[in-house]
Amino acid sequence: MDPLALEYSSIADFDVGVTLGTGSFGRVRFATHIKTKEHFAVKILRKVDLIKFRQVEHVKSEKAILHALSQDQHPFIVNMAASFQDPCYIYMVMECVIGGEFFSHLKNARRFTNLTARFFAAQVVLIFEHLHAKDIIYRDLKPENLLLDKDGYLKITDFGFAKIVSFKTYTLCGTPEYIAPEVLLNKGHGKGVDWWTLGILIYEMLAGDPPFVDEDPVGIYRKILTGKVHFPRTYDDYAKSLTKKLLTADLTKRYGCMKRGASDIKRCNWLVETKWEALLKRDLDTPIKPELSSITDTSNFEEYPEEIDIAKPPIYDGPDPFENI
Amino acid sequence: MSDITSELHKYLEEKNINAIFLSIVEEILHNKPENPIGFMVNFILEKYPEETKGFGKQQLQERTKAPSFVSTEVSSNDDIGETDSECSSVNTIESDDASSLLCDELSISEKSPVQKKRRESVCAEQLTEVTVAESELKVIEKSETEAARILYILKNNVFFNHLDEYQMKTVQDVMFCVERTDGDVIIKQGDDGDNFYCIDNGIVEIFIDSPKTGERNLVRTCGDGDAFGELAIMYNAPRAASCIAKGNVRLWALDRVSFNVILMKTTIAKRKSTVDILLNIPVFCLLTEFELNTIADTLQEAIFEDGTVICKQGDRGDKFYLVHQGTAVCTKSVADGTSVEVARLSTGAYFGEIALLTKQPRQATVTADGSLKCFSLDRRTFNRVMGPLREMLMRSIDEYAKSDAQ
Ligand SMILES: Nc1ncnc2c1ncn2[C@@H]1O[C@H](COP(=O)(O)OP(=O)(O)OP(=O)(O)O)[C@@H](O)[C@H]1O
Repeated sequence: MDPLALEYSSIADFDVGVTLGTGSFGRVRFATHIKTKEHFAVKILRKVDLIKFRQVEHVKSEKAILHALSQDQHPFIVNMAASFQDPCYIYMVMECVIGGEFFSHLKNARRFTNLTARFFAAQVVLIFEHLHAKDIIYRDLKPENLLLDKDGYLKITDFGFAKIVSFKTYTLCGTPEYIAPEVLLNKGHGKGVDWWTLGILIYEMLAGDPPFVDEDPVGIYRKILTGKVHFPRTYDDYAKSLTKKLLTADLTKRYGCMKRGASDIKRCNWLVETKWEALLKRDLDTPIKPELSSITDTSNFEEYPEEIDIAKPPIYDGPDPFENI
Repeated sequence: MSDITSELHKYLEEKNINAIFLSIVEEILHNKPENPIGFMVNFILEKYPEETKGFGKQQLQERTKAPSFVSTEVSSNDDIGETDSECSSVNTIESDDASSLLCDELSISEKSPVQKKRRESVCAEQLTEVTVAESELKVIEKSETEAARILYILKNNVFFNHLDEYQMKTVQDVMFCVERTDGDVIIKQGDDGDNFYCIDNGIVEIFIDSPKTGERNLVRTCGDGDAFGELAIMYNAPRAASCIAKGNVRLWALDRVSFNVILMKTTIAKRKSTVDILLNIPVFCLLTEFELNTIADTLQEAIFEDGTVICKQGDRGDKFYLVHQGTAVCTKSVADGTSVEVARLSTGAYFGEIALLTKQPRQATVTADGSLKCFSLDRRTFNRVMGPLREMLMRSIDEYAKSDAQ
């Protein structure tokens, strides 16, 4: 479509439909561009809450990074078509990824077979390789932030914690079960955190639960820092070997962080047979094909009560920190 | 072996039939179900969700109502749809018990899919390098024994034991004293968390109020040397429990901002001073900032007692050293067998850098004179992390040889 058709748009140019998902500061809704009839997912964030919870910088950076990434149209990254704002909200218009949350598919399957897990892990490797080449670290990999497109390929969404970092950054962020030890220790962290989270994701896909779990976050963090991982017996040996290499606290030994970067991971026994180029071209058979009756079928998403969000949030009574973005 | 048996064997192996049967038998023995056939069907449906896709969906739905191999503990839970804590109570996977292979396997099938809940992200407030550089830390005076007690507690806490000596001392310096009397609330469940506490003296009881029933339960009693509220040094989250003084209590507290400022400040300062030194070393001065930062962060602390020989003339070296604190003496043996002192190395000096490039024998013997703290890096680690750089350095070694000769 003509990029200009969207560039100067406002939310009034869209027919806003059902909620596809919710986050801490707003929700993502299905939307149809009235003029072109094209379908999108619009992330709608409440400014007051962003200001209150000091997320202004994160959202600015999310928008900037999504914008930059969308220039390349990477097959496994959610592309942003436009973004705009009004006094109450920030809007990000993204391509709609209709197959539902990867999280729900994993939840329904309980856990994946070795082949299925391998197929998805390989895509995450390509995503991180692409991001890291641009000095972007993602920092929040988890099934909740991955979506399945209509064919069953992954798309990563939610760049709220992504950051352009040439060497190291310091702010602790992530999702408790997925946080890397160096992040917890507050000593500065870099691209290596993403490879750690890949290790957790692989484990969660194959075992059904992440390796470090506890009732409260402090308990999870203790286990992460202690670093003991127990593998269920069904866990594939090659997968186990890669998982261990990724869940290595020593950054001089963690796969992905050494001189050969991602190629250590791509060439490990578990992934070596992956047809990387075909995968990137989306030329492979996908293990999970979302059931869809049409391209507007949102039944793969959970249902959310709609009335809660109807009332407009108050307008922040100070200078709008988003004014010039 | 006949063709048929070998074909059979091949099939069994390919399809992993033995393992499948074994796991079924194990499950049966473990659960001793009344109706083994139904149990097996359910087990297979749950254990092989993808292979059985489309099969017996109906039974699967019924299974949630009927007792099955899903542990009774879970299926008897009446608010199964919104369980929060159960989804993480899978400690059996973490079990240290060496004989728990079977348990590991079981613990996975014990959990029903409905327990999986979306997990929220967490985030600390951002500290920029500028705010950190400008912030001032308030040092709280303490007696020697108080300081020693705090250090002891920190060293035994997994969230602090990674700090280096200087960081540990700085953290100890900013910790402030809090005194409370019987019944005082130190932490209130649900409040913002800003401080971490360790108990100098006294007893603190930790309670959790159930949000549903309002019931208050004592979950832990802490005494001298115990610590609580660690989460607060990482990010602001509502307190998960209330902590109440039992009798008079004396505590040491640490706030998140100070802690993070200390870590960031010391980490950056240490890296910078290391890079400044590296920049003056001929083999490193050609490298990029990123490469130098990486080397700085890869260096390991090495502590030597007085008189320790760190490297010996003639030995094949494999480590590079930076002197951080203390003095090292370099000696060379001369023709008559005696050795002469050729140099004394102090903070900022370095030796052994050639070992990162070639396996040349050491040119001198280096010995610690008094206790000595160094940073070191061995060739294998260097190659693993910096790889291509090594080749780059090889190219510049000629230059080094030249500059050395002059
Ligand atoms: N492009 C998209 N297409 C379809 N659904 C999407 C898309 N982007 C997001 N969603 C849905 O919306 C949910 C929330 O999106 P996202 O994680 O970006 O929001 P958030 O407010 O940043 O959340 P969080 O609080 O977890 O950071 C996702 O989990 C997903 O279900």
